[in-house]
Amino acid sequence: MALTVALALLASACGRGDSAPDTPGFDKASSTIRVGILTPLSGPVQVIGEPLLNGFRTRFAGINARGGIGGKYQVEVVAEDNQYDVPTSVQLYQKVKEQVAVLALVGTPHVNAILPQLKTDGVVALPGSLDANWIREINLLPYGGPYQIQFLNGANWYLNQGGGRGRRICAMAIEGPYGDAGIAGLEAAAAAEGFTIEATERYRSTDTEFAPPVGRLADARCDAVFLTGLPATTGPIVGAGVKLEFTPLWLGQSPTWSTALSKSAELLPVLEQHFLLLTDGPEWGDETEPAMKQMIADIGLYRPEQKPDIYFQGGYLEAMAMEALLEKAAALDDLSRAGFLEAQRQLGRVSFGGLAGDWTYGPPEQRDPSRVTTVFRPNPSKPGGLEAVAKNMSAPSAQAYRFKS
Amino acid sequence: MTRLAQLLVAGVAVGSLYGLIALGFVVVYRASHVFNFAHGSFLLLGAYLTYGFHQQLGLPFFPALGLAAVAAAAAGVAVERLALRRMVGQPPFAVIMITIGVALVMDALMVWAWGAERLTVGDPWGLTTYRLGGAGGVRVAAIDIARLLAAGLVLAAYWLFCRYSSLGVAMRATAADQEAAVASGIDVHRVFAVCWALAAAIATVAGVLLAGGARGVDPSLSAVALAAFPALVLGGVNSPVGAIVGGLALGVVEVLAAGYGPGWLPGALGANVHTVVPYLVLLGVLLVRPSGMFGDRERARL
Amino acid sequence: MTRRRLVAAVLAVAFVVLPLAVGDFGLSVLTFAGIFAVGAIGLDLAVGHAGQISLGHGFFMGVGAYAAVNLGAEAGLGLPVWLSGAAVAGGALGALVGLCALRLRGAYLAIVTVGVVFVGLYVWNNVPAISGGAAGAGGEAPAVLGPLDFNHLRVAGQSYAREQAWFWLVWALVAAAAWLAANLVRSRTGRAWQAVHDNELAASAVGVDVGRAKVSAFAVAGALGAVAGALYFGYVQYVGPDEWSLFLSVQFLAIVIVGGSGRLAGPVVGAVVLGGAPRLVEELSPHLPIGGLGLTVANLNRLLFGLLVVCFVAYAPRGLAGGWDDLQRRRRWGRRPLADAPMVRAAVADEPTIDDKEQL
Repeated sequence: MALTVALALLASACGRGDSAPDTPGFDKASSTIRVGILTPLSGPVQVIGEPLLNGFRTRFAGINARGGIGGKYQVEVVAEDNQYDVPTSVQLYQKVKEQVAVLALVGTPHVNAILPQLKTDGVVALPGSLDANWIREINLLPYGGPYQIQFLNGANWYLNQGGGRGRRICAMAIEGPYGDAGIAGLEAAAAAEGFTIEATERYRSTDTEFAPPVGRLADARCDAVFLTGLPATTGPIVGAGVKLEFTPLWLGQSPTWSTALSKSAELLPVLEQHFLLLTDGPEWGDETEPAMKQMIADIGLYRPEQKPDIYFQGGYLEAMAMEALLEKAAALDDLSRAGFLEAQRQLGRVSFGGLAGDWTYGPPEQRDPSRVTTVFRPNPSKPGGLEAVAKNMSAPSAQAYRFKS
Repeated sequence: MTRLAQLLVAGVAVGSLYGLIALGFVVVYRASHVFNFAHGSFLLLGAYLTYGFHQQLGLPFFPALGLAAVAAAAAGVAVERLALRRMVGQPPFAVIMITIGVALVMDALMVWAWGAERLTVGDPWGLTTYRLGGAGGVRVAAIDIARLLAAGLVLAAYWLFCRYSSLGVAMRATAADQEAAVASGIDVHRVFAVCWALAAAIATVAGVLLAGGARGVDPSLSAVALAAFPALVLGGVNSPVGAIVGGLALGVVEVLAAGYGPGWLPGALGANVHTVVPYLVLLGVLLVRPSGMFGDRERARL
Repeated sequence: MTRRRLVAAVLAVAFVVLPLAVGDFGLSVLTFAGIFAVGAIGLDLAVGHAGQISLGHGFFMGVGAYAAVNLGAEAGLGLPVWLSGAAVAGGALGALVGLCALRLRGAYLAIVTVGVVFVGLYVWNNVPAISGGAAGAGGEAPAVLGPLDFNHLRVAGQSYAREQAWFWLVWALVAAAAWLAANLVRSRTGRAWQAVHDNELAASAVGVDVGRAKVSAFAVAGALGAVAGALYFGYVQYVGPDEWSLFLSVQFLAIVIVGGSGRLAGPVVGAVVLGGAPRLVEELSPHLPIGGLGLTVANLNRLLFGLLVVCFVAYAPRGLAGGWDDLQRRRRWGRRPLADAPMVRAAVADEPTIDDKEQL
């Protein structure tokens, strides 16, 4: 009994619901801001997570060498491997939340699982996905052109420059919110440009045999198929088409591509002829864009062994978005949780130096995403294996697209 | 009509793979009553080894495949010796768990050796396709023909081996009655080792044919073995012929479900119905015949 | 004080003190371990006590999670409702799977339970009314129990972090599940399970209703698996459809095996060890020479997980809890030969070897 009372007293003295450090992740003495990144460094998504982290680190290495955030704060990156496992992500968030000022995340389910905690704790994080659902979340800082915009621009390009007028346009999309976003974009394009979607197929990431859905697209005599999927299924899907002598023009969202695809001797000739990638930014090494020029310079100084990789570029871009937020918070001279939320509200227009379209941030209801997309064609003679067919284009339909508020 | 024929071609091709995978399970189960959850990892190992010999060491494809089968067979023997030998006479639960543990270890080692990126095995079939019956006819891919041929040839070879080699006879004797086999001087451990070697070699063929064409090999390949379970149950876990027939039947069922399901079922239910139809068939079969179409009936115990 | 009471007192102190002494990261790891312990206690009743194999436990966890989504987050009903709703749904579906076990054994039963996982994955992905579809489901399930709101715990003017509150809630339920399991094992039902486990034929010969025993074992396992799933959703506040995979079921079985099947403490010890080990390896990894080997920490964890399963099944089938028992007995009685009654070994007593005589 005495034990119980003693324990109860102890418990009542040690609650910590209200207490938190004033500026977690910021060490005034050393003028250092720590930022976190939870990303898969193992498992099937390792091929995305690893280069992404390298790009993220490279950007901050450059920032630190150039004097740091606001010319005074060095940035330290704390990276954790979430193994693409949701419980692991949740645990690691608890681990780093008091150590870091701002957090970058990778993987839609992981963002969904951590978002409630971000709201409770008042933490700002970068979702690292082009999912438009998060535009209105004040705790999240998205960047890049949303999936809807990629297809709006892609459809406009196909109709006007790709000889697509009067052709039969179809969609193939993975199950889930990512696939839904792709289809929503194509439907908006159909409404704006006046075409109909002749057929829509959905599939699962675990599927191995694509003859049935691709066969239906072939039966629908599709001339162009807008593909929303992951890199691992792009080869089998396009390959299933070839086996059916069905080679439409495949127009893929940014995650449909990986450099591994360009290594397949079987697929590459087909992809060169019949595949276009819709994503952000210029060709690798296109120094007419200031951010790309900076990236190449940073790679030369801090990561000379880096090979061209779109996920490295994505990580570099993610660090640019985080940098903008850190700069704003430093300018407001408040590096507390509340300070970062205030910085989110006051962030305003952010330029990504041509690496992706500009964003207008601010209060959630006023945020306006990038409307810009680049159309790429696989081309092994280019450094990144991709050749820009139309760089940073922005169709009227993309500019007019209204994201739900 | 063309559409149905086209789907049947795809179904037979997938079914041949399921059959080959199921046959690997059967070979081990028949002799030793081990239900080998590590079989998927042997598919992966065979595909990676072929990639290694062909793409990394530069050997021609078929010698590379042969060497990979031999190396995988050696790995199979090693697994039997190191992990399974201790488990003789243990209940199925413990035996199943140890094969799951072996699968986890093997997969981790292979990610260590080959990474997680998707690699092309460089098979000779690629995306080559033939057309039967002129324009608008049915198209058949070279690799799909290879899949069907491989299923047939491997089954025939296995049957000949069991029938005419002394080891094969020992295998059959062990399958029939372990104690009697021991009593008549058969080295049961040697039989088990041979079965694991055979299963691993068959898995190599299946793994390469699975990774060939457009797919490539990456760690997720081992999960495809799970898709062969319904085929295994349909055919019966101790029937080699049943494995192939069950595989073909369920491959066709699955592809037809994928082909027609989305049109026939309302709303979202049609999408991906092919992932569940094989298991519904499985449950139906088990309700009628608890030991599959070709399996030996287990004695009623209740 | 007897040894039993001493253990109970130590556990009680740990229960109260840990959330005060350990940071949010550690608490989060322990809370997940507790959630898995609840499910594993259920699974062990079917596997360790009744000798039935199930690779479908991940499915039941999903059932419970979606019960909590619909009753808790969507309908706004209280904690007792969504928790017991999960238990009822999991129990009913567990009984249904148990009916399959009436006719099937060994490999066939294992495959059917694998099938349950795949049927589940189809439902979770394709029936958004239940699961939110492929997008998943999120929201806050009310966690009020009497005067305590575990989502915003405030007691006697003192406010507690969510991690602290959920540690207490989850581990109180671990204790409740263990108490329930202990009583069930000692009951008539529990004795029937043990009889079926030891020898089905003999059990039915002495008048045990084998079918009833099997169905009830699967029902209880399903119910506790579902409670674990409901807690998972309550804690994380979001669930996606692909989390309820076969690998989750394998993790549950590994917990039972490493902890020690057929023992009350087994699943709990297993959940803490297997839940904590990966994080421990990560913390230690800077001091391990794995970078030079090209091995990532997570891959090392996968490897260790597999090796643990293999080693425990092959060399220590009585698990950690069993090993502890042996150690105690040895200390008390000296080096006497141990009773050879490992639970795992006899988990399914009906090796079909003798049944296949027809062959040839």
